[in-house]
Amino acid sequence: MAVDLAVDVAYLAFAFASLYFIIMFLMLFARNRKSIRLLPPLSALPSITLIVPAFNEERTISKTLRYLQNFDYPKEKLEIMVVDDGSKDKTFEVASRFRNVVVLKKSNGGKASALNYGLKFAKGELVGCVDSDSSPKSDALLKMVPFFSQENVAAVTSSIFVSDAKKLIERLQRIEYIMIVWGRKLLEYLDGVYCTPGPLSLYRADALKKVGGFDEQNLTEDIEIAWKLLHGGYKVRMASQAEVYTTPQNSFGKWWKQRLRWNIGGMQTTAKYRRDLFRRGFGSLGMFIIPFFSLSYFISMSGFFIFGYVLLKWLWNFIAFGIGALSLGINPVNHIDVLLLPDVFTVFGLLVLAASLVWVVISLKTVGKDLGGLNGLVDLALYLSVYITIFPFNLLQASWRFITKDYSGWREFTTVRT
Amino acid sequence: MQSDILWKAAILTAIVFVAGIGMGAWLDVSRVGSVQGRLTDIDLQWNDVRLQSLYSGSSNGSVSCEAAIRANLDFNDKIYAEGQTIERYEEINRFDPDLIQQKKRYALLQFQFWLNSMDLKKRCAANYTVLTYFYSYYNKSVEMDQKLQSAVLLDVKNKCGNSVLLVPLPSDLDLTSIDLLKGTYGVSSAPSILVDDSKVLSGLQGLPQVEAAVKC
Repeated sequence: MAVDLAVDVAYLAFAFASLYFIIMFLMLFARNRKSIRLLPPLSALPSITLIVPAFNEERTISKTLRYLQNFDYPKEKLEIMVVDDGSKDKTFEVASRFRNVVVLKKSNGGKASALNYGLKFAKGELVGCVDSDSSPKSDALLKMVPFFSQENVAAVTSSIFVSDAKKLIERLQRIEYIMIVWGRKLLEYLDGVYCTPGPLSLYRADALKKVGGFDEQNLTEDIEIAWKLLHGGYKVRMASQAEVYTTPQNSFGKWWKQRLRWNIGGMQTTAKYRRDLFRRGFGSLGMFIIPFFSLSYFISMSGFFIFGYVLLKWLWNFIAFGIGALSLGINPVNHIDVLLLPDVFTVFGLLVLAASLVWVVISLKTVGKDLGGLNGLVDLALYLSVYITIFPFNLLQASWRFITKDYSGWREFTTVRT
Repeated sequence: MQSDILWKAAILTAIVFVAGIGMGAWLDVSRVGSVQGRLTDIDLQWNDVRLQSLYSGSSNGSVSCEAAIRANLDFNDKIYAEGQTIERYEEINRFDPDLIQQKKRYALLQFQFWLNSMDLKKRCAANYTVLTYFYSYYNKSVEMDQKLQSAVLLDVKNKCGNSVLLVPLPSDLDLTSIDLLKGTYGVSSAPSILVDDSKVLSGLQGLPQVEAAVKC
């Protein structure tokens, strides 16, 4: 049938694209494995303003501020600023108790608006964005700053890991964050760091001001600002040695909503910069990031539809056979054929699976995070089978909400954390 | 920017992809080869069965008649199992169209087997019912009906054992002998079941209908 033929062709295209990306990442790793954890030489220690946008964070802000005050960085060159984005709790009062912390208050406008507000008052040559639930390691700044020795680098991001992962949903996010860290570092070699996440990223203040600061209409200002800087001819780097820990979403509902926001924000950003696609004038943004981003979306969605079609067809046939068999007076259970024979699709399925496993093992080994023995392996199996499978459903809903421009329900999230 | 990685990865992926296609094609070809080999083996066995039947016809002995019936029944089990294997391979083979030739070869063997079974039934008074199952090879719209019909016939066969011989025949492979058989008994659609050489059950038949038509 024509539909089956189309699904066969789509499956092969899906397998090709998936293999391409995995092979691309493995080649990047093979070529750069010796330099992946090297830092550029530290030539200067510029002044830094760390901006902490906060909305109803009275419980977590103290901990974050203590971490920031403990940074191994000359105190006279470090300004810590909290922008209370119209909190209804005692965030402002709690933050004001800290010495050497500038605390600003404004009416609620979202995380990007709080960052832009802080940017107006920031005195540092570099400006850092720090989520109010972040726990950076004390040497993080010293490992990020050297990347600014290259003049056209306007932003440097860090390695974000999950702290305190107890529940299953938290442990799965822990694996996901490790994978993101590794992938993002490899993308750096293609000038493809497409996001400067909120837990800790540093920006060159004048570059940030020159491009107009953060987009207050975008649900993921951390993706948009990276694209905006790349669009402006700047480069974005990743300091994989600079470690920051963040609180994972602790329920499926919160996780789902956060991923919806990430996906919609990604779509908003792609739509905004769509005219840069394949335009050499915007460097890696037009020639790599937008195609990579778009292709990832299509791979995810086509995989979802192909496997959905195959699964539903199998289910439909299974049910139709069962009902038909019963109506004809025979027991359908006696006719279940469980014999599986390998075909060309099995070959490609196994190839993609094997390549994915190699990719995951190398990333875990390179990042150096222990998953915790047998339980960790179970988590990994769940991550590769269940967690990744759920993602396209979220992408589908995000696509719908993006098309219908339904962005309701994110005011709190945009102000709290990335 | 190490942009050369992008096209190098594309070339490497293409190589892996072509290798994967090659492996898929090799699997298909090896499956066809295995069917070919087994059909050749069955062909030999068939010649043995047929000669035994011819011999029983010429010797007029009841002992040789009994042996011919026994050999015919054994052959039915073998050729039926082979048919199931070919069907499984048909479902997954993507590259090698040669399987259709094996399918035709198989259909012709089945037709010869039918002739022999009917001959033994008349000449040796063999106590079995021959159920000839006509199904469509190309018409996918009746695929589910045919799966169900196969299941019903398999249940009848399992229940009745040697009292029933199953002869599945693909009805649209453009084989003149099978077309002639269809024309003789007025089989015009699939699925249909010819009971011995007397009655045609057209359309999907349930277990009670088929059981009523056989001596089990």
